[in-house]
Amino acid sequence: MKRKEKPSRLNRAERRAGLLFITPIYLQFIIFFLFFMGYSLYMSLTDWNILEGTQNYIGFANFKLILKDPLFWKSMGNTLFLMLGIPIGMVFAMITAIALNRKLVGKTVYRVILYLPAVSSVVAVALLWRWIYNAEYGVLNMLLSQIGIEPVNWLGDPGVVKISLIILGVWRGMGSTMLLFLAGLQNIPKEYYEVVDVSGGNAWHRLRYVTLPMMTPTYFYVIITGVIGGLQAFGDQFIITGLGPEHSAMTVVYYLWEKGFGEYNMGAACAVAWVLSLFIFVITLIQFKSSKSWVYDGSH
Amino acid sequence: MKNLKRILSMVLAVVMLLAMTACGGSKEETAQEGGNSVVISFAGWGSLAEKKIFTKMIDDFEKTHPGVKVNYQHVPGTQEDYLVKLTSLLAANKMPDVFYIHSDEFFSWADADRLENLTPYMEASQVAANAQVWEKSLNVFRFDTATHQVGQGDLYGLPKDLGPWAMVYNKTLFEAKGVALPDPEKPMTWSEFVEVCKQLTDGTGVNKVFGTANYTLEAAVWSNGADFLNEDHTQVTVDTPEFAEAMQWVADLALVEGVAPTPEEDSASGWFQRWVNGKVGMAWMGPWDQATFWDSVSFEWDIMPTPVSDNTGKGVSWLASAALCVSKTSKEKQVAYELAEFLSMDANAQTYNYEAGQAVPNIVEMAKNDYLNMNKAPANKQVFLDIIENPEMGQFKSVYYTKNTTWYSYFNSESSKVWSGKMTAAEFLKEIQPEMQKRLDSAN
Repeated sequence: MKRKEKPSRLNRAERRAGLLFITPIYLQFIIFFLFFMGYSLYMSLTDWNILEGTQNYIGFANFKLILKDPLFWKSMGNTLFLMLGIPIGMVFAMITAIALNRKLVGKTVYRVILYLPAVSSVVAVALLWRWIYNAEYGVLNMLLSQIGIEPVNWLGDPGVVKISLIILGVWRGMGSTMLLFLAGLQNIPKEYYEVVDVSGGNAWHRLRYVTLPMMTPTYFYVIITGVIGGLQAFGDQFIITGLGPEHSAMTVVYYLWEKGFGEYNMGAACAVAWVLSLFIFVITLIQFKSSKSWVYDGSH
Repeated sequence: MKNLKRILSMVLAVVMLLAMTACGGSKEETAQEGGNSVVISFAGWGSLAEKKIFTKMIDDFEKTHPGVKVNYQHVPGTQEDYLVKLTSLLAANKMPDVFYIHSDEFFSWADADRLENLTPYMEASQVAANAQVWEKSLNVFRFDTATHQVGQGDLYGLPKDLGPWAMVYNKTLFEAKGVALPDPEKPMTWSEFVEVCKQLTDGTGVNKVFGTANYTLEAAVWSNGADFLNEDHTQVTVDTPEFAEAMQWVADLALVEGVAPTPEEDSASGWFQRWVNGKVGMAWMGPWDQATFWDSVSFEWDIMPTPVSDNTGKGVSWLASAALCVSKTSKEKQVAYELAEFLSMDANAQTYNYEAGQAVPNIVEMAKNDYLNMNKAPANKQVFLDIIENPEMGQFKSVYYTKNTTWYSYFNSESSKVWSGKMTAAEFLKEIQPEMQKRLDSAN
C-alpha cells in the first residue's frame, strides 16, 4: 500500500503539468464567471443605479419590487407561452428527421436547406420575418388570401403576436433539432429493428417500439436546452416586435433589459437575472429528476 | 531542467493569454497622448444627413480651433440605441467629452450629477454674449440642484436645436381633390378637420389615401384643456373627461371616421412612409424632416396651424430639444464647452444647419429673418416659430418634467387597447391611472 502515499517523480511532474494545462480555463471560469456571478448577486441586493452611481445595500427590496410588479408576471407568462414552440418544433423536426433518414433523392440538399436558418444571422432572419409578417404587403398574408383567408395582423394584434413569434422560433430551431434527431436515429442498432421484423411487426411497430423509445435521450437533451434557451428569449422580440402592443411580446429578459437600460436600475435588473436563474435551475432539476422514469439509458 | 523549461513556457502562455484578454479597448487613451494637441470626443445620434452636417460643422470647429481634434462618434439607430451606448460608456468610465441628451432624458442625467454646470463658462464667453438664442431653448436645460426641478437654476446643456412638431399637409393632394387649402393663420377646428379628412380620404386597400395619420395624442389632449400630469408633475391626471374625449377623438379618426390608418394598417406601412408616398393628406413633421422631404417627396407641401378643439378654441403641439452637454468627468472641459457652444451658437454652423434642412436656427434673429424668408418649403415657416415662441401653441411633453419616464412608456404600450377599439378611452384611462401613478411615485 505504500505505492499510493508517495508518487514517483514522474507522477508528480505529470500532475503539475496537468494542473498547469487546466489553469487557463479555471482562471477564466473564476474571473469571468464566478466573480461576476457573485458580483451580480451582491448587486441585486443594492440600489445600483448605473446613471447615478449609487450602490447602497437595500436587502431584498429589489426582489420584492419585481415580484410585486404585474409587468414582471406578464413577461413571465409571455415567456412560458412562447415555450409552446418547443414541443411543436420537436414534432416537426422528428417528422423531417425520419423522412430524411431514408433513401431519398437529394437528401443532402434537403438537410442543408433545413439547417440554413440555424446558421443565418439572428438579426437578418428577424428582419426578414418582419416583412413576411407585414399585414398589408407581407408574403404570408398574400398566400393566405389566395386560399380565401382574411389578412391577419401578425405583429400588431396582442393576441396574435406570440403565435407569430412561435412560428418563427419553430422555423429557426427546427434545423438543429432535426440534425440531433438524425444523429439519434442513426445510433439505433439495426438489430432492434430486425427483432421487430422477425416478430412480424410492421412499420408502425418499428416506430412505436424501437425508434421513439430509443430516441428519449435525444428528446431529453433537446428539451433541456430548449427550455433554458426559451426562458432567455429576447433577440426576436427586441428586433421584430419591441414590447408589442400591451406588452404582449415582453419576455423576462426583455423586462430585465428595460429595468437595466430603460430605468438605469441595474440592481433590479440583477435581481431579475437571479430570479430567472433560480427558475431555470429548479425547472432543469425537475427535468433531470423526472428523466429517470422516461429516458432510456441503455441499462434495460 | 527540461521540466523547468516546459513549465516556464506554459506559464508564459498563460500570461500572454491573460494579457490578450485584458488589453481590449484602450485605443482612445493612446490617441490622446500624441503631440501637444487636445483631443476631445463627441457623441450623438441622428440620420445620415445629420451625421454629414455635423461632420462638416466639426471640421469648421477644428479649423477655427488649431490644435484641437474632435473624435465624432455617430451612433446609428434610434435615440434609445444611443442611450444604451451612452449608458455603457458611462459604466465603463469612458464618457465622451460632449454628447447629446434629449430633453425627455435631461432630468435624470442632470439629477445624477453627470453633466457639467455650463453657467460659469457661458458667463465668461464672448460668443455666447453676442449670440441671441431663444430664451426658451436655454431654459429647457436649466436644472436646480436644490429643488430638483428642471427649467430653472443653472445651465447644464446648450440647445442643439428646438424641435417644434407641426402639422404638415400635402398641397398637391388638396388641389387634386378640389379641397380648399388650410388657412395659414386661422387654425381648423376639430370638426372642420374631420370634414376635410373625409373629403381627402379615398380608395381602399394598399392604395387607400387617408385624410390624416398618426394624430399626435399630446396635441389633442392639450388642445382640449387636459394634460397627463398636474401642475407640479406629481399626479397622473389622465382620468379626466377632457383627456378621455381627446383620446377617443384621435382613436375615432381611424375606428369610426376611417380617415386615418388603423393600428393594423399602420403596422403594415408606417404613417411616415405613407406620407412620403403621397397617401396622407395631413400628418406631422419636425424641422429635421425638411431635408428628407426636399429630397424624396414628389408633391408640394406646407405646414399649418395645429387644429383647435371645438371646446376650447386652443391648438397646442409639442416641442422637444436635445442638449449638447459636457461630461462632468471630461479632462478638457473648456474646449468641450467651446465645441458645444460652437455647434449651438456659431452663426456659420447655424446657417449651415438650417440651410441643410435640419433645424430652425437657435439664433433668434437668424430664425426670424434668414430662415423665415428662405426660398424653400415649407412656405409657412411662421407655424414652426409660433410653436417655439407661444406657450399657448407649443409646450414640452410631461416626461420632460419627471425624472423617470416609465409611467409614460407604460401608458404608450398599453394604449393600443384604445387604438384598436378594444376599450373606450374613458374605460382605459380609468383603469390605467393607478398603474401610471404607481410608476410615477416610484420614479421620484
